[in-house]
Amino acid sequence: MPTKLDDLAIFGGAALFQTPRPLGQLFTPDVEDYLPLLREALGAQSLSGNGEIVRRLEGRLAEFHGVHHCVAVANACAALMMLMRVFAAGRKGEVVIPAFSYRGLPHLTQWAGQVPRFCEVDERTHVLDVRSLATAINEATTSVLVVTNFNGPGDLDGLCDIAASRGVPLLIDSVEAVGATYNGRPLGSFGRAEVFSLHATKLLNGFEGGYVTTNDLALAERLRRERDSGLNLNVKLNEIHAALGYLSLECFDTIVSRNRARFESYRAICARLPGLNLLPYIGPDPDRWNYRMAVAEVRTPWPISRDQTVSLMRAEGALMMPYYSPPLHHSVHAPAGCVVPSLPITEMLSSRFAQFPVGECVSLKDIEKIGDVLEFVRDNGHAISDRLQTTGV
Amino acid sequence: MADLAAIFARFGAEPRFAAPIQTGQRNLPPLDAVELAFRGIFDRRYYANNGPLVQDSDRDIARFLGVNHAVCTTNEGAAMMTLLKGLELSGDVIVPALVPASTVAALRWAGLTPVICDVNEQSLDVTCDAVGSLLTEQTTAICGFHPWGQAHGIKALQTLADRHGLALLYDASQAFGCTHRGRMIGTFGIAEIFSFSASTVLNAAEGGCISTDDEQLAAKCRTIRSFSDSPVRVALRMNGKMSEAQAALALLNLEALPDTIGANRARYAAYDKGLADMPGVRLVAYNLEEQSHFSYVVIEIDDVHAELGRDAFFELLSAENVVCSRPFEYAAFQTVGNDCGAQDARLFPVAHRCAKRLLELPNGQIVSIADVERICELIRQIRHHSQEIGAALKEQS
Repeated sequence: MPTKLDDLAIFGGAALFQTPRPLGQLFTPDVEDYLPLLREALGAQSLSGNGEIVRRLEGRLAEFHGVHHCVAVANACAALMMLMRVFAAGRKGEVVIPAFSYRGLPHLTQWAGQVPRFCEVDERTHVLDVRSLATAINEATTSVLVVTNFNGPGDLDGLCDIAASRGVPLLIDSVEAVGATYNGRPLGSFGRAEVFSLHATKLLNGFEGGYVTTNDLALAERLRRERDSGLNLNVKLNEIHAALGYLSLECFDTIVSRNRARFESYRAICARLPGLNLLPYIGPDPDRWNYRMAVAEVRTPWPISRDQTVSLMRAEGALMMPYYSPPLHHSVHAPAGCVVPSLPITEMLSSRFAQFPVGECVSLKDIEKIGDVLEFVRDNGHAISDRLQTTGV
Repeated sequence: MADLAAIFARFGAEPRFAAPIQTGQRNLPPLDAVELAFRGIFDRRYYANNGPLVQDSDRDIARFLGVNHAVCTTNEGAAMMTLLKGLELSGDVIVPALVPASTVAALRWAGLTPVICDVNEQSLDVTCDAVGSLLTEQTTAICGFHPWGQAHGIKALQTLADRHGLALLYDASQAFGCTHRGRMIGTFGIAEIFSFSASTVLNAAEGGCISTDDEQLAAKCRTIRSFSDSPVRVALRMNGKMSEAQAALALLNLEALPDTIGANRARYAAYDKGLADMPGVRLVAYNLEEQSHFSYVVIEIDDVHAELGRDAFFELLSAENVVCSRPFEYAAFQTVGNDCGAQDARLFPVAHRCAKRLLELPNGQIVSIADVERICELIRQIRHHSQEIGAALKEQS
């Protein structure tokens, strides 16, 4: 527990954590459980291309998500690129994307030969806003990319209705919302297709990987053909990655319960810190929340800014990060020449939130220590704020 | 009149091999070494995002190739797409008619227009003259290819590229460990890309890399392959990262490379011996003055002199559980064009003709010398009975 300002790493003190505490899930099963699957992957003498473990994984994922088809690929970004390109059907057009979201999205639309059309999100759910979507869709729109967030899926019915009424395919990036339900069904069966990730920093660890879920047989077959034929981009998932993904899926409930313990710990801490408001989970089914992230809104009376809080904690080795900031339409990720709309809600949200370190590399004890530092900031707010001003942070 | 049914599985006999024997190297390091590496990954809890093993791979592969920079990726498609964006290319790129289909796909994904160049009959590679005849104002680059690791005419092509201000890059996906005029492939052009798929000599469970001496290009490629914060400005980024798991395999297989090549060479020599003096069936030779991986064993079947075509050999061998490949089955000229159709093969007569003659034979880690000898004997028998087989197949169709 720091006792004076000089104790803080940002003012020259020793860092709280020698090994930085990250944000990613980094789920680590018992290696003894993984090795038999690894041996199987190696023994099959075929490490890539529609292998046995990939197919088993696809089957289990289809079950998990309550869909007919699951197509596993090299990573979620490749899945999104493929889908947007399929829906574009040879046209160069636009994909509507949320501006308060993942930095990769504008790049992926361009790989698919499309331009991003940045769209406002709902102030409460942070998911694409229905009325804004209706305005954003035009004759050039080839698809709509909805992103469901860790804290909730938003108004998927409203979004799907708009897209359907305008004859535009809708796909959903549900990477951070995996496991959640909507209308009593797991995410995975909504829109034309949904995309999930098996990246180590996401809930299910498959080293690197991704998958598409859909009930559209023709679409699933098309994706498999593109993946397996070698005629198009090689986006196959290899057996070694699939093996870890499979094991992670078996441990889904354990991962979520450990996430929940960390989240509750942050909740208790933030309750003592006026101005640090932990974003609540607002999805319809609490039993299905994945507790993947702990994100706090930073506002008065918290004595320092969101960015100062992030810098201060990162200096301690607690790798906080601004949440979806800067907004995509104002970021380096917006392609030159594309329309930069005024999106007041997105712009406001981008300035407000920060992610706390979570995942398997962060213990409950670590979170307590993070709480100690934040309490010190609460209690010495003016002095810290003044000193940060002087040092130009 | 031979009783084909007694000899060949295609006509009713028992298959010569009990289980399928396939093409593709599928090289694996010793199991205990792999397990040790994975225990390390789990201990560190560092699975992806430019971890220590990926960094080691970048460094060790660069050192092996003798280049300043190797940038490892999740597969060769990602390597090519990353490189194309790193070079900030637009417009037309000349590409040989015989290249992997994924090379052409990568060009299109990068927003470029592939312009296909027919190949030379002997080398199955493009000539400088042929490339030169296709240049227009829209041409910005030449993407060469080294079929089976054999390179040709690089100096002349580089001169042509330089004269016209074009970038020269190479798809070296079949060429890891090979030299050209004593220099390691990977050092030519502005950059080359490699494949580390399970079928190639260096298996990294998919995997690929970009190899270049150009510092700025390497820095751009490192930034393009991920979405992590970077001070380097690039136009477009993707997730093209290699994982720690892939890097673990790459490093172990790099260490084992001399042994792998030794085993390949022994099998190749056995094929050379077993397929000698067979009219119409010719083993594609490696230039023994260069270093090579000897990982591809390809025969060229001249249906006139062999009195039987490549497809018939393929069919007969398949039935015996010898699962061959037809190289360039989906060649450039078959994949370019709109999504519904291919370009007219008559525009590329040499590539079209050559592709139909090629048959790749099994040469993987698990293929023994005894297996090779049995495969050669089988091919010899097919050749011996070629007329009758041809007649029988015709009758049945």
